[in-house]
Amino acid sequence: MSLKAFHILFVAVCVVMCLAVGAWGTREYLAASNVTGLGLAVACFVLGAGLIVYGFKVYKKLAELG
Amino acid sequence: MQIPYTIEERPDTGLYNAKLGIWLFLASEVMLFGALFSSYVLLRTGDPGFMTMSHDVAEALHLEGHAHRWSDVLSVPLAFVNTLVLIFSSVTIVMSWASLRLKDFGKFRLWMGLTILCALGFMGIKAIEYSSKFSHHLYPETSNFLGVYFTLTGLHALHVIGGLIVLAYLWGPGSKMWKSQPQRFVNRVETVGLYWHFVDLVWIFLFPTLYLL
Repeated sequence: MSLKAFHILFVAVCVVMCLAVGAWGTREYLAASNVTGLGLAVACFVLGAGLIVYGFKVYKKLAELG
Repeated sequence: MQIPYTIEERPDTGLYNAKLGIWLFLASEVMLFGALFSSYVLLRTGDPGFMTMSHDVAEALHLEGHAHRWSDVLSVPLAFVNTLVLIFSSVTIVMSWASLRLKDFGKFRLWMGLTILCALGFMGIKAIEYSSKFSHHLYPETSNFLGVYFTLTGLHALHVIGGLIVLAYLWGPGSKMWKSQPQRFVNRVETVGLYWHFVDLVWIFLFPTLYLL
């Protein structure tokens, strides 16, 4: 596997983890009014969305490299 | 006699020597970290008191509330910042490799330099975290959870230090190879990039496992 492919895989795993941690933070906030959990959830959802956009852009860029 | 496939890929495997070597090494690393993760899961599921902190310890640490877990002593915000730093460093190392593929050595130095700064930043934050634990007399022998925490994060930090040394070498003296054997140098950067991604991936799993769950 090349660095290109591993990087795309890495970004995909990060997105999944961001969504999972975001869901955990949301649950923490709803169950125990944990403000840290809410902050973490918001940060993770934003990061996940950013990584999805980045993932598509970098996939195109790296494909151009050959 | 010249060693074959140091630059070009071997037709049957589709890999050059260094890439085959790093994947074999990473396979052994998966087994190492996999064994430690499995130990943690077995300890946690097998011992009902694994995560429970006694009332006296919680009081000494000035923790509020009633039920306390050992993971409450870990700093989630610091660990999250470290996660961001490592994700960004994965981006910068790919950019440094892509810059070399585009024959832009100046940009390679810039992106690789940023990767090194990220690694240093990660270690700095880790040092703050560790010193905070030590100042509260929280050591690996304090509890089984902290033993696992220091083992896993310490081993990961050692991997970051190892990567940092290689990154610094490729940024500094090792970059002379760009003039004599450019393709081999690109391959070296790709190889260290694969290692760095693995180290980052380990942290991506460590963060929620130790700090959140």
